[in-house]
Amino acid sequence: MAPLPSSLSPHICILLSPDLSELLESSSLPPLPHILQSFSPLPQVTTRTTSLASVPHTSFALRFSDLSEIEHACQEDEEQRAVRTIDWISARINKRCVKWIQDLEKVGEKDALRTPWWDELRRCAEGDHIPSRTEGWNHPIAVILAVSTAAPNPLQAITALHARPLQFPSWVDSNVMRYTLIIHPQHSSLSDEEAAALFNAVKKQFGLHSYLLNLRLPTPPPPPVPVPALLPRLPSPPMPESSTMNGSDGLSNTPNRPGTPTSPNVLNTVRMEEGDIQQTSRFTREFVVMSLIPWMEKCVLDWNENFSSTRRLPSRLFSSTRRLFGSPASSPAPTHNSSSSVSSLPGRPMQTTGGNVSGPSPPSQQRRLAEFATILGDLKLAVSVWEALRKEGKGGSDILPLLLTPSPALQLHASAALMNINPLASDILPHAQLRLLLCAVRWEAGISSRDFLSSVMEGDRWLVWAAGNAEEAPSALLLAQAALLSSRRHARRRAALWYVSAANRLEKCGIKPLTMYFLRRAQDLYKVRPPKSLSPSFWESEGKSPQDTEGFDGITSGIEHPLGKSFKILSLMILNMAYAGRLLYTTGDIEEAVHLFLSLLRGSSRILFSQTEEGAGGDGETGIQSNDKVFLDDFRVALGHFQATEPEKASVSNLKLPFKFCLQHQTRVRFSDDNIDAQSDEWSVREQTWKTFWKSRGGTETFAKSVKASTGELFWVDMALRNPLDTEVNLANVTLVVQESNATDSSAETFVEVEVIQDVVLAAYESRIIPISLTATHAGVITITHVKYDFLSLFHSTELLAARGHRLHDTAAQRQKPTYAPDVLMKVEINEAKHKLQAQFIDVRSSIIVEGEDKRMKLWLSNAGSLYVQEAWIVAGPEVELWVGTEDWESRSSSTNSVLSSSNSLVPPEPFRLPVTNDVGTPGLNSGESTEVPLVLHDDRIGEQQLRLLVVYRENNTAPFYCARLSLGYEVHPLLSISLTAEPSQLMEYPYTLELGLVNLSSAAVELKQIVTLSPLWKCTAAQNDWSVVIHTLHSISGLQSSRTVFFASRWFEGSGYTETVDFVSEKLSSILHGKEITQTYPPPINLYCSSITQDSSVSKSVTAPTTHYFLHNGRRKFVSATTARIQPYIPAASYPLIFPLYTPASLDATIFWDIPSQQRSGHTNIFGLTLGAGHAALDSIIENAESAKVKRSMYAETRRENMEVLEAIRGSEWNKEMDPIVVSSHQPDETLHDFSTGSCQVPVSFTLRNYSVTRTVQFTMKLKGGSSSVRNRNSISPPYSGRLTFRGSIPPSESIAIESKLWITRPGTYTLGEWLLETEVEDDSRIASVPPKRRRYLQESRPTDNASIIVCDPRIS
Amino acid sequence: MSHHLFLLSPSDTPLYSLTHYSTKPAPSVTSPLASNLPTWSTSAFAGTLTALSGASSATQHTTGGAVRMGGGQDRHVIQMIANASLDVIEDIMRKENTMYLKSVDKFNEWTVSAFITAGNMKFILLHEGKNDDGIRAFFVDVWELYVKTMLNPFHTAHTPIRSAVFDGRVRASAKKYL
Repeated sequence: MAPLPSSLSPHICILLSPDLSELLESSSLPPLPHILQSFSPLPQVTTRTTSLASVPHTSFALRFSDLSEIEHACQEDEEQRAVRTIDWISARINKRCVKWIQDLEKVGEKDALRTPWWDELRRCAEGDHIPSRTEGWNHPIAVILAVSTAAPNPLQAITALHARPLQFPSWVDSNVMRYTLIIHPQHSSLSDEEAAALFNAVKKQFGLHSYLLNLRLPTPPPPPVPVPALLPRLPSPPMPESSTMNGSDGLSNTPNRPGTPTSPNVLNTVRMEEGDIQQTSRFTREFVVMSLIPWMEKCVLDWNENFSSTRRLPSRLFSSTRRLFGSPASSPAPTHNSSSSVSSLPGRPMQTTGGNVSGPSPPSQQRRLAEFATILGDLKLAVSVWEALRKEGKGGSDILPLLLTPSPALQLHASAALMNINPLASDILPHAQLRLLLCAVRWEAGISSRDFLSSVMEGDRWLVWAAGNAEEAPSALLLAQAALLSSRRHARRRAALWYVSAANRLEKCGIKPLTMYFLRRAQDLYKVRPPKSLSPSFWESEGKSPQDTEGFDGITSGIEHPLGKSFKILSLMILNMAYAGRLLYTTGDIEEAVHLFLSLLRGSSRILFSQTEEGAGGDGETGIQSNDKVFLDDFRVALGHFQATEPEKASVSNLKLPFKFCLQHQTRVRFSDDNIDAQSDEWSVREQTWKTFWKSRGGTETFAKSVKASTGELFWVDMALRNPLDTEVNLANVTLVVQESNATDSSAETFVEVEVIQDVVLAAYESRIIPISLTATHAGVITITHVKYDFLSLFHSTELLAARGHRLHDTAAQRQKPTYAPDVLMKVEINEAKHKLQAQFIDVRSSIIVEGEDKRMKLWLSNAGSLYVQEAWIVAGPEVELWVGTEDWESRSSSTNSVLSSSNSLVPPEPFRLPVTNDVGTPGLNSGESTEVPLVLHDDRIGEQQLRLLVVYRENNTAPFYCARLSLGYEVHPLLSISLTAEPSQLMEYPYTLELGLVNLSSAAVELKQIVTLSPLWKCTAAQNDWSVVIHTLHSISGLQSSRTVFFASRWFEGSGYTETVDFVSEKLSSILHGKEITQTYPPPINLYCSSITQDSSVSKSVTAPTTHYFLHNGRRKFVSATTARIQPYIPAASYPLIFPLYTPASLDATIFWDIPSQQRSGHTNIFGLTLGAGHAALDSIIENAESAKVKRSMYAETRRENMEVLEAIRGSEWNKEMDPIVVSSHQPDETLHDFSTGSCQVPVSFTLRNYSVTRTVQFTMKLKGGSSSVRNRNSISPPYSGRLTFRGSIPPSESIAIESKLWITRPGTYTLGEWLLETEVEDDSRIASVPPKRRRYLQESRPTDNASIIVCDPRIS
Repeated sequence: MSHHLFLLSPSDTPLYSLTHYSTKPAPSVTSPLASNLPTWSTSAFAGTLTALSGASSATQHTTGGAVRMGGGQDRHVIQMIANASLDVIEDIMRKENTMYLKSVDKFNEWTVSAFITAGNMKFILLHEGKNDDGIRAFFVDVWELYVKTMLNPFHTAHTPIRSAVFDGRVRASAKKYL
């Protein structure tokens, strides 16, 4: 068993005579209680139990105090004293904690079981020696009446002391032993013999409890001897009436008064010489062994008799019945009321009351018995008495844990004891607080720490219970001690919680340094990750390392923010102090505050914290609020203050942001080449185009490794920044740190110029890309290592720009354990510009062109490299119509109509070799030379367009190629809306009438210069070849006006290539339908007839001129490609040239050349898509073949469906058009005069049947059905045909035939010319000889809407 | 009456948390016995007394800014308590084999119950009243929901649970049982 706490030791009061106090004072000695206290505890004291067994005590503690002090203190109200005590303890701790923490930090030992504040608290609590109403430990057991022989009449002084009654209140136990002490100093007026005589007289008069103490007390006091420190005691209340009392016994001005914290660090010393010490020690021992202990043993024996008599069966039975019947505990028990302790003051009414009920009665004899037995070490008796007391609800549960062996029951005892003290719920009275504290202190001190911390007892929790809800320093320290004990039990997380709550309470008491210390401890404890008994393969399967787990995010900020805040409060305090100039503090704390606030800003890694709110319960938090803004503001204030007060320290202080703004993986280097649309994959298409082209020409040279950055040229780093905080931040002076790669430490700032961006403001969680430009003045490899910025414009910060390398999978070890390649830094190779051809568009006045405009531009090529450039090519996309070089539109032949031979191929134009000549005209460009190449761009796609050109160049014929990119964005505005429609003509000469309608969509007047039509089969003419009418109408169209004109188309028989083209297409499509490979053959060339209608033939453009031809060809090519892609989506675009020809033979294209003089624009607009003439299902046979072919079954429904769709697309294509080729038109005189008096008349009618087929001869049968002469409607009469009514014949292709018939008219009227039926028969020209040719039949009937009619009038009537 | 649920991974990373305000009438039958309980009614005696009287601590509602330890609804305090209770839970896990750890720890007015799945996941519930069967049923429900979440092949033991479905169902279960 651990020794009892010192507060459970006998309390002995000393009453001094005034002469003794003077004597001690004159020998520079402290008051007698203090001197005697120095000899406590006594070693090797033996006591005896009631059963006369001896109990050895290795140390036996005693408490001495001044009687009058105790008497006086007993008068004070307990509550008031408790308030004073708590304040006193708080003040003591507050005053000394700075020093403690400094000492502790010096020692660096953090896990010491004892902390100075806990010791202090314990000593303060145990130093309380004022008798309490609730327990008897502080009630004096003995009173020593001390005199000195220096008194004028010592015997009289002794008698006076003995005669003085004890001035205790009634509730203090008056059962005390009286002891007389005579101090005989050497320089006393009495001789030794006289003193011995006095002693004998005293013994005779006052009993054997007396002692003569001979002291030498030399006049120059001997050197001080260190003695144990006294327990601190609560100073007396500053009551006015007490001063007289204090003054009388001279205690208030004693030099070494305990409890005065004037000199806490000075050792407690007594200036006594060795002999005197020996004497005093002998006295103390004799007092204890010869008087005190026997007296106590006797008391115990007597009281035990009483006690055990009450424990006998009848009384127990009786008392238990009493309990059963619930009579109040205060009723006196008949037998064991025990007339209290020995009544030296007789006649006092004795009451047995519960230990915890305060009343004007001394502690019960039973309780005193228990206490005495405890003090004497008679544990068996003590435990049984305490148990009895506990069962009666009179206390004892607080002492039992000290005496019993550890068991879970002790926890219950402890909690019951605490509940007895403080039964009220919320508010703990100060007095109760103190008692709780005392209990906790006794337990902590009286139970060996091994037992106390065992999992059975869980002593740390006892302290927490004792701390309760009180928000005073003592309870906070209790929590702190609990935390310390918990951390020793390795319950670190609980310890941290208790540290935090201790800090919370201390903060309210205003004890900042300890608050901070506790918060720090909590922080340290939270940082420690408790070891997990998890399988290592758990981490492996999770792909995480055991270190990077994260705990509750709210906790650390919950600790650190108050921690930081207290720093801030300190710093503000310091600020005020500095103004007052009173206190000197070091401002190191501000620095730490700044660091702390900074560490709080750790960005977001939030998990879902959700909550339900139902009904009235919804008064909780409305969502998870990020504290970033608060933290950031605090940080800003703290840092601002720091920088204001300590600029030199602030500048060197190493602040490091705990999060990153830069997203390394998204940060890129960008070069001037790819500034516009580097991401566009069209560039690689261009390069591929070039490679294919060059290979097709037999060239083997490839592209040289392109030089990304060259000296003197700007390039950029696109910094991807993301704000991880939930608040707005600004970064000032954002720039990059660059290093030269091969020289490890040398900064490249000497030759690389890096842009500095003044201010970047990022909103909460905002991501942004910020380009920072760099220029290098000479070649080298530079590494971009860091980004540098001023966070909040307050301090510099840098971030590494290295991105983690890719995961390695090469070896088994790497696969099992995630291994990464070394970090990747952005490296830029800067080369001398050797091969550098700069290409640029010049003369581009505006980025807006109108639809169909021929935009004239210049390409400026300049050799910026150091080497020669011999040849350069330009690669454009297939959708671009770009004429490179000087224009040539003009006609070389005089005739307006001409025949053009076309390759009829859809092959896109090849890369164009640029005419590179320098100023003097020699080919090639030397370094520094430049040239200009004219360009004409034509575009009829409306909207935003991007022109991307790849300029490929090289030094000489064998050198590899380099390329430069050229990009131009422009917008195309609509200009003209053109319609071209054709219908069978009524005129005999021309099969078709064409109507051209134009609407000017712009606001400017458009002048039409020339209309060119192109067709392999048709030529266009004006009526009677007189174009003047057409030209006149087309002359100019004002803004937003429309215009239309009509001309005619007729067959051009000299053309060739019609059937070849059709055969080519049907063969290719047939192989597609059969899934065969397409042969690498191109369509046969075709001749085109070109009709040109122009106002002024001298300036007319000729289709044979290269530029005109280029644009007409490519315009058609773009159109056909686009149409085919739409109609035949299953055929890849690359194979169009092998399948489809450029011109459908029956097509008729028109091109209109125009000028806008007001805007100095000119251009041409194409109209495509018109086909004239009847088709005869040219692909019918191959489609049938394909359909009738043995169907290859496919297991995929999709494949079948796709095949069907291909077939349908081909069936519906323009090559497979089929129609009735004959168009009937009638010719008759409009009006015939006939005198019907002369009889009926015959009117001749002729029908023209025109065969619109260009290839087939058509058989026809025409039947005239007239003659019914019924009135079809009110206005017209059906024609009464007469004579031959059925006509048969055949019409060769593109020919017409006239059928003559007659009407037999018997009366005047309007006769329609309908009522005919035409049967047509077309014979397919089957290419397969075995199959008989197929015939197609068509039936055509006159339509009732045909209003061809004949009016026959009788002149007599009119 | 509020409840705080935390789902912790085997390495104690919080994956999900829920604050549930119960509409169930807090057993406010404050018997004289219960009203005598101290707020730090963490003692075993107080616990049995609470059990006897069926009353919860009557002093759970603190008003105003005075943040009493554990009394306020401060998120970090709640988290600290949940975190601190892990010490006891781990102790018990070592000794016992049950999944449902009933009222393993107490901090001021908060009682901590826990549920340990076979995969070492810890469900921690901070509650004020006593509702053994309800809490057990709630834990079993949450367990089932968690297992369903774990069936997602992309869900690891450390993936925070953000599924709205999971959240909704846990809430529904909390409404039902707590």
